[in-house]
Amino acid sequence: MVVLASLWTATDAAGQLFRRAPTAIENARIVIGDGTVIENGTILVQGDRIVAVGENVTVPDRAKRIDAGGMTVTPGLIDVAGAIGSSAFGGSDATHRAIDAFDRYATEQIAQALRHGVTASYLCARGDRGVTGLGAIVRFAGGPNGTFGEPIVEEAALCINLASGDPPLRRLATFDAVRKKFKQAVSYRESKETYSEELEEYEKKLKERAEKATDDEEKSNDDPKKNGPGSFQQPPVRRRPGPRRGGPPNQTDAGENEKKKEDELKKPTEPARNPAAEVLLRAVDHDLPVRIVAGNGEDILNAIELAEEFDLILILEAATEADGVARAVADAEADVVLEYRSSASPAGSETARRLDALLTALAQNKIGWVIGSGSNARNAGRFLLPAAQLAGQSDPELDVIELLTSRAAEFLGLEETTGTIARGRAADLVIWSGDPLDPATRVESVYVGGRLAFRHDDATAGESDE
Amino acid sequence: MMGPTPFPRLFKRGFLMSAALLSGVIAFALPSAGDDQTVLIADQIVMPDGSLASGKAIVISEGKIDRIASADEFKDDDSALRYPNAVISPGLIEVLSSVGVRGDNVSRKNLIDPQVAVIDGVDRESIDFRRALEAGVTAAMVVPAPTDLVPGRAATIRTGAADSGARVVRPFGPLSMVLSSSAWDRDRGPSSRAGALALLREALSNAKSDASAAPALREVVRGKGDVVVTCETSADVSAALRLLAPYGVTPVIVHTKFAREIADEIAAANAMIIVGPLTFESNQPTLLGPAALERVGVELALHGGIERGDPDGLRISAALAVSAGLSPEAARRSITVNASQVAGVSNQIGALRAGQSADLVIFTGDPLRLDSDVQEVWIAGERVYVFSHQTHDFDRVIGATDD
Repeated sequence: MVVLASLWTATDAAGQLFRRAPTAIENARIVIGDGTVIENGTILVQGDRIVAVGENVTVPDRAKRIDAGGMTVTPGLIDVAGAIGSSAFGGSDATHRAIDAFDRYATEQIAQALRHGVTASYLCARGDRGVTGLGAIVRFAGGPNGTFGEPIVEEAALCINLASGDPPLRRLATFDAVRKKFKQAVSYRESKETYSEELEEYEKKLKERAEKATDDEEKSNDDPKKNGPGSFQQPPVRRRPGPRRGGPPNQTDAGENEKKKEDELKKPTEPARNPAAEVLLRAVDHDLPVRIVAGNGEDILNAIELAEEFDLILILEAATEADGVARAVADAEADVVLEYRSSASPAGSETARRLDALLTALAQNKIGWVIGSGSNARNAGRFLLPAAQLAGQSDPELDVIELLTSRAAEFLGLEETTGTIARGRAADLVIWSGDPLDPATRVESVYVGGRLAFRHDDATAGESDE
Repeated sequence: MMGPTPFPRLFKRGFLMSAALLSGVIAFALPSAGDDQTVLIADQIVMPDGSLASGKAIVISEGKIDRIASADEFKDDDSALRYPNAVISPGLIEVLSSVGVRGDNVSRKNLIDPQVAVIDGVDRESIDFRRALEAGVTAAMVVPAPTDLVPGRAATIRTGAADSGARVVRPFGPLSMVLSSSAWDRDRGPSSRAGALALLREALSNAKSDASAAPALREVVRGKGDVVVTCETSADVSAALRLLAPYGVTPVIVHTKFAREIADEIAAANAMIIVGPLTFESNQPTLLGPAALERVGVELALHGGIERGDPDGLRISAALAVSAGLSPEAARRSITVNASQVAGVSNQIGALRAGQSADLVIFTGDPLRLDSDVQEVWIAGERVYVFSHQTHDFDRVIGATDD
């Protein structure tokens, strides 16, 4: 025991020599992300994780110390509906994956996101209509060659577009096609199950045949002339049609009928693999949530119907007319993802008015909502101020930072790894020059996984670029 | 404004008591002065220089701001209206608006129509006015559509008022000039930039010599009229300044795209500029324009695009300009006092200052913050709009000055 222990200590010391020194961000106003605030505290980071947060944190001697000068630190913002580095997706099948269209070298867009304090984003898999593909989640952690973008969930949600901008007949056709695909997926599963059963049967019968043949062989093999000394008995194998060694051809005396039956024993045909159907089945099995873009009331109701029929986890995207059907949305327990839509279009004022009514309806029906930057990659990361505006309109008590950090993380299923400044979480942190919701505030620096990912040119918090 | 007077503590109480008695007597003796006076006290108010100041009270009398006092003066006054955690701002002013303008308000026949006044074509009952009011915009400088070289004269109109007669602030406002391809027309002319400038130059020089020329133009050439010129490119900006300089007229320039590039030229001409709208989709160079203009000392007004877009467009433009480097003070000026200046109505509205009309908005926070909301809107000293959190409905309260 003693030997083992000393060996372990030696290894650990060596490990410590090579491990990066911890970093302490001190003298910071820490917004945890769950609604609580530490007016003046320290965050201790080791490797890519937060190891301690609090007012009185013991900082190891060898730690690199950063004085935040009283500035506000928040968790990295999380975009729940973005298109950073992947706007030209145009998916049209359940197997099309947004992660395959993600450009790790889209440094400008990613830099823009980081500049706004965004450290992770869900990537929409948008297409013109129907089942459009699989969304992904990426984190803007530094990679080799100056790239920023690391997939953390390659297949995060199934995306469907009910194309609310299309004329009514086309929309109907789109919805019918989607429904049909789900039905086909279900029957594909049924046919696979049937195939499994039939295959089992078939193999069972083959085994029976084989055993029977072996018995016959054994009978004939009792003749010592057949087997030389030392030769081993062939174990019973599956009989394949064709010449076989030793022994008489497998023709029993059972007669022509049985022979015919055996010959008719055909291997069941495996249904052709349908990868798209397999994706849909994952949605049915609750392995993937389903994000449906439904811009008008009818399409929203259709989406709800689809979710009920196939028992899907439903998320409504860009549901600008949800106010008219808010009750149905609440009853279906669907989540709503909002994105800021340009108000500079001719219908802009109508959109703004609609958004107002929507927020009211969401609040009144207690429907939870989250917000992202939208599928236009130009808006990468620019959703803090729009979120503030929407929050101001709908619920002045709403904690916007909480909405964009811990709630967003929870929504994407990332709450164990990021979204709050807490022990064990990834060190995804943003240092702001003031109150994040004040337009005069700017992002001073951004850390992703404990590494500096962005630093404002005039940043004052003391740390040099790594 | 009185500060605290240093009195020995022993006498202070006596002094205060007699002062209270005295003011009570005075109040009783002159009932009208006390009754017509409304006092508003909030956490902060927006000063004429755009800064936020605490501890102030706004004293309103007969529809106008009587004075800005210290809040201490009214600390025992129960009739003062108090808004804790709120910020009182002058009513926001949208320039280059087309709110309430129905249909085509210019005749495309004549390309220089200085006598056309947009005030004649404005529908004051338009719902757009109502929406603007609810977003804290109390006045708009409405301009004619930019389809002619000189489409006519702008007008400044309030978005609401208890007294409908108080709607119009300035019916015959700045002359609108358009140096943009939107004013070109292959059939009617002009069909080029050079052609447009030639026509304008000719019209101006004719107005100088011809006594029967349009009065609006004659005012301009005599250096007495104000002009707002919409410029599509940076070349148009230089041309506009050059065009009007011989007449001693410095126009207000309307240009957004290359504001950074032309900042120095605007500063040298001592001109004001209208920029916007800035939206969440504007690109970075556009957003950097206002800050660049401020750096060289140019005062700017922001256009919010509210009737075509978000009614909060004015505050969104301001917030985005601030996030790109414009100082908060300049941003607050750009949607209030500077806007009233380009509309030529700065003696009436745009600032919380003695003598101005009491057109103001009570926000739940700094108007530059987008999570701030409109709580109440007052026009000419009367409360014309109150937001109700209970039902999320909008109540209209006309004529009442207290709860």
